Amino acid sequence: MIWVAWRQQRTQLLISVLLVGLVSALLAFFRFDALEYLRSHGIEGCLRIEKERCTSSAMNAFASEYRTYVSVVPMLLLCLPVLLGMFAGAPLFAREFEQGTHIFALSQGVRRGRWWATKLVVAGVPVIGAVAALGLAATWGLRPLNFVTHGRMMTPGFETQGLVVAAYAALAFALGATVGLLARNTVIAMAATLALYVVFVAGVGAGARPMYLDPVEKRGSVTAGAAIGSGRGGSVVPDDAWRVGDSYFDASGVEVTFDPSSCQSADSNIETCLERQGIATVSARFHPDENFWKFQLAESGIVLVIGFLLLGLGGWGLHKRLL
Amino acid sequence: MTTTDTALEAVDLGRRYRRGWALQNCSFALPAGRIAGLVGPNGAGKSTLMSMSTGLLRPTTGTVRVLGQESRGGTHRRLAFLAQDKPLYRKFTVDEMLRAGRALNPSWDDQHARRLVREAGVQFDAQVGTLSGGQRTRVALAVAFGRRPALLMLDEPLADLDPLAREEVMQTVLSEVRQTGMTALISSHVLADMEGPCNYLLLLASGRVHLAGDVPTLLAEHRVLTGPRHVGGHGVPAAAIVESRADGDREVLLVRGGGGEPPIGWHQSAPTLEALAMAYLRSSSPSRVPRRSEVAA
Repeated sequence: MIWVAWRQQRTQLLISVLLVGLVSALLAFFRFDALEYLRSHGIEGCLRIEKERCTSSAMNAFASEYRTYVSVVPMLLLCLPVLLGMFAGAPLFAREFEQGTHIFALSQGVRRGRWWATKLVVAGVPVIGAVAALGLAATWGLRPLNFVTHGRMMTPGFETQGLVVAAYAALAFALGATVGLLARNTVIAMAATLALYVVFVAGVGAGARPMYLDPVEKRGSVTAGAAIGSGRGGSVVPDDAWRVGDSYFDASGVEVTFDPSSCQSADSNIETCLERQGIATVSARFHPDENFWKFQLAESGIVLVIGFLLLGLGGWGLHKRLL
Repeated sequence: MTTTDTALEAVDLGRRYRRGWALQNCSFALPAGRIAGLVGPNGAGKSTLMSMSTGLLRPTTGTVRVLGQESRGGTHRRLAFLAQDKPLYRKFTVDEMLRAGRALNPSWDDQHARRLVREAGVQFDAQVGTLSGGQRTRVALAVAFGRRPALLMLDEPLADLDPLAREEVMQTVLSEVRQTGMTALISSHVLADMEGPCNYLLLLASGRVHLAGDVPTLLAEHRVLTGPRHVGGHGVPAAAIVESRADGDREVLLVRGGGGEPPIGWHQSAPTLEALAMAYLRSSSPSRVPRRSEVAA
């Protein structure tokens, strides 16, 4: 059965691996290109604007150099995993039902449970493995460009790096395989996979992701440049952190509201606007870059559990009804 | 009769879909070694019966036993089934298709399957999707016979073939069946295909078994009476009349049982298998009288 499943998936698996290889090569090229830029401009190892060496002018020049690349690559990394997962999963059973070949396979000496599991493993594991390598390649390749990508905690940095890339591919695969098994139609399976995928991924991102860990809270005075968007380089929130909330206090320490829309063009910077509204201290809650891998593990775990539940649903459906 | 003498046995077998019963109260016992024709119009329940026999479709009621064993979840090891559209992996070459047969079957006679492909004149490196209907059927049969079955079930094997290919396919099947002594159940909505080779008839219509038995016995049990067309003239009890129909100014009756002398003024003859089957099919469906061309052509 393994040979039969492999023969059926062979072409598609090779194309998937080839695509992942191409994108990985692109990521590697730009990693070395960016490292070379940083070295030649004297800002080697700068991940964000920091006092002294990693100046805002040098970092902004670096950002404008790589802006095009950084705006294109996340699209590629967002689409490729779900597409590879979908194209591996949706036709896996649906096409067999469409062409009637499931009757051939199952009227031979192979039990339906084994047919189902073997096909899932042979089609799924290599694709998900390749996408996992892509996720790690993206983490590695985009690291020097951390400042340009606004880090890897916020969308789309979080979704396009690390372990979740493979987890999302696994989710798309499980969705495709299960819908294909139940609907028995490749086109329906693909459409439903895309729709449900967006719902699941957006749901997990908005509903669960902020709660993986408690956010870090930091306070600072406006005059010291603590405000977000300050040009003074002392913001309480690092550029690559994910800000989830902030509060404002007046000189006596009472919490007040800040109305950004009342900032005037006469305000030369954020500080004058804050001070005009009587704000002396700002406080922000955020998830720092250090928690990246913990967040990745938590989200991957959730997504994989959803994927396994979906596969289980498909297995149950197969048990209930076959022809 | 012991179970080993029965190749396929159904007891009160039934299957209901959302739209209604596809097969109901189906009971018969096909003795081993027969070549059985499973005959009936489209939608009679032929494919449903075969699917349940392979264990791929669960019966709603009753049981079906293949070579004495109830099919549950999988196909009996000695049953080979060829579905209506002869499903094969289109992207595979013929050689790979045989390899798939070997990989999917614990007992597989590769030499035999290859010999059948060679006899069919099909290239081993040809892609299955590029084969003609006849070649494709021959490859599908080679894969089926590679299992070395004791019971062969073919669902409409000739439906999409030209006359020459029909003859070749039928000859392949029959020579294999005769050489090995296997039991065959071949479905068709075309009676003429079945008349020559079959020595057992299973007639389904509207999801019910209307006739099941050895062909010589069935023929001996029935007679055709032809006589003048006026009510009550023949004196045959209504329960014995399978079908009565007008043919010009004469009346033609198919009668079950009886024998002896025909009523005065009536001519008596033995039915052909086709006439017998047609009479049962027509009488089974009062709302829809199948045309001769549709059922028998």
